[in-house]
Amino acid sequence: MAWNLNADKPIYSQLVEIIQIQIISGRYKAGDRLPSVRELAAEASVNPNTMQKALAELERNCLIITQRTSGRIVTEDTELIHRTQKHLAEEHIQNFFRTMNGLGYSAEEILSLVKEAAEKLSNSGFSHTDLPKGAE
Amino acid sequence: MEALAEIRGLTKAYGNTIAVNNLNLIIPRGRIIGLLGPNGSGKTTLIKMINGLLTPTAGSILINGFPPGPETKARIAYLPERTYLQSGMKVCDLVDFFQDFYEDFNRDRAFSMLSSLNIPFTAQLKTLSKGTKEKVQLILVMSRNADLFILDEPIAGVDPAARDYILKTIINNYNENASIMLSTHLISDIENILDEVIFIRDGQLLTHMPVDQIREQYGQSVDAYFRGVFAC
Amino acid sequence: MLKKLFKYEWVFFWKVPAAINIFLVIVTIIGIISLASPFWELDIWGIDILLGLAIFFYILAIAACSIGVTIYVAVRYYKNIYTDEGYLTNTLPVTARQIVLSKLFTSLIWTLLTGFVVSVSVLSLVYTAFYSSDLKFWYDFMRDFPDFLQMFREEMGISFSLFLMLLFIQTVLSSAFAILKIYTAIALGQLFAKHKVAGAFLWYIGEYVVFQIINSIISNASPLSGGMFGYLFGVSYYSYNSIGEIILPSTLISIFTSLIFSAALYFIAEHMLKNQLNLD
Repeated sequence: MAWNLNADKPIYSQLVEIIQIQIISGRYKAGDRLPSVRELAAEASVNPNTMQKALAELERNCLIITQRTSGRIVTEDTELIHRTQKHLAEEHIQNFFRTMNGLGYSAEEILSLVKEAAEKLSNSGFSHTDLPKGAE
Repeated sequence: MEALAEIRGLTKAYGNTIAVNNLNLIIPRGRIIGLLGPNGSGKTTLIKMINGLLTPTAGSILINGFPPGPETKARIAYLPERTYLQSGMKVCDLVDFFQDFYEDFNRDRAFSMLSSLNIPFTAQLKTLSKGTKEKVQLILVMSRNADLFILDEPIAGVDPAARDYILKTIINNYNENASIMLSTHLISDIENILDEVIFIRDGQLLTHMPVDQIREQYGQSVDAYFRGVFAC
Repeated sequence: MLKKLFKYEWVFFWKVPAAINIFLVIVTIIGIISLASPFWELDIWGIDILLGLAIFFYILAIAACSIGVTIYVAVRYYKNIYTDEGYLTNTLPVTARQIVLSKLFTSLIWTLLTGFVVSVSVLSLVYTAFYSSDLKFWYDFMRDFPDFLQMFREEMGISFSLFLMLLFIQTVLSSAFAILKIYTAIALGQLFAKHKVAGAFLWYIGEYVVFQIINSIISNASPLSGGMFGYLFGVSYYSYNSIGEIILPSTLISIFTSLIFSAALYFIAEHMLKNQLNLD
């Protein structure tokens, strides 16, 4: 199954984000070996050069480390993985606030709405393991 | 490294009709390139000239420094948009045929692809459906370790499963010294696997740029960009 | 590469002409059995007409077989080079020369083989009809053959075996010439924007007329009419004193012209494939 990619953003930046999510969500755990560029490209149905570019970006962020013997592995620095998780969360929250502002809500109103929504969800037995597996 | 192919001032005229008009193009190595354009824009004419099946009216084509001829044919794997196999042959005879003529042919790869698609080796070609014949042709072409793969409309008229198989085959076959050029008018199906795109209209080069550059510069997919450009 | 091309050309080519030749052999065997039977001796009304019809159909069958092989030579060349199959043939890493030669060799072998089978068929039927009851035939033949050889040498100025060899060379070359006329016509037919097959027929007729004219010029100049060629060979209509003085130069002239014409046609066919290919 090809990865779900947006039509209007550069492909490589979307690949970076999807792989980050795969690492954060534990599909690839700290210290795991990643599949080869070609395998990942085939899985995502994208160009191998683009996948290469995305992985290089992740390497620059130190989330992925290239080892001469075992190929590419996920960093064992769990602190970094958490930071990445936080960073992504912040990004999503910012986007969310921007959208809600557009809808005319103030920060306090948004917070109370979110709180309401969270209570509703936890009453219906929602937990984070039920998150949609958008990235797979 | 030198460019894989250099095309200069290429022109093909049929009487008063000009199919390809003074085209200049450089094809680098290690890329998957989409050759895009509406029907009748000159894609197939260009491809046939690169393969030496059409004689240019003017201009030059150099592949690995050679004009189209035995040296270039040994290094180009070409999938035309029609069935060129003789129907009396068996699938395994065809594998032998390709093995005999193309030094870069990988027999094992061909057989493993044939079995993964459940195509019987001993079947006569004429007993196979049109779709299966096209798959046999694709497998034979993709089983070569050529420098340049030229696939003319490989995904037109195939079912989604076959299309995914074709795209996977192209990705799996990719290597950094070879380039793959595929022509199509169905861009959205393939744009994710492309490095760069070549737009042709009325036999002239309109654009040649990386896919991500189009997305960054115009904030839209290649498909949407293409529709915008040609919507007149 | 030429060897491989030839191998595959042979594999693709042999079935149709082989079937035609097997048909010829069967027709011949039926003819021999029928001629050897006492049937034709019967004194019934209409037997002469029946015999005439049988001979007519036999000649028709032989003509059809020869033409059939020739047509197949043309179809194969056209189909394998200038239609969809040409997309593979012309993208193989081989030269235009190798493509044309591999097809020429294969066609030539089958044309000669068919000619040979036709000759054997006719001779064996003639033999059955006229000599098979004459038990002395082979005895006479063996007895007179040395005299014949002697006479031949005296009359022709060359030995019989040398003459047979010349005859064989002439047959090969004129067959090659006939095949190349077809190849060149097909190649030149590609110059037409549409109706390329019809174009090939036009070119073929054109070639036929041109070579007919050239041939008549040459034969007017040949020893038989005492023209230029006769002068070159030192004989003329008025001065020759044996048939050999005419046949030998004519054979040599025929070999020579077939060779020149074939070479010219070959280069046109090769040039068209190498430098003027335009597949639809």
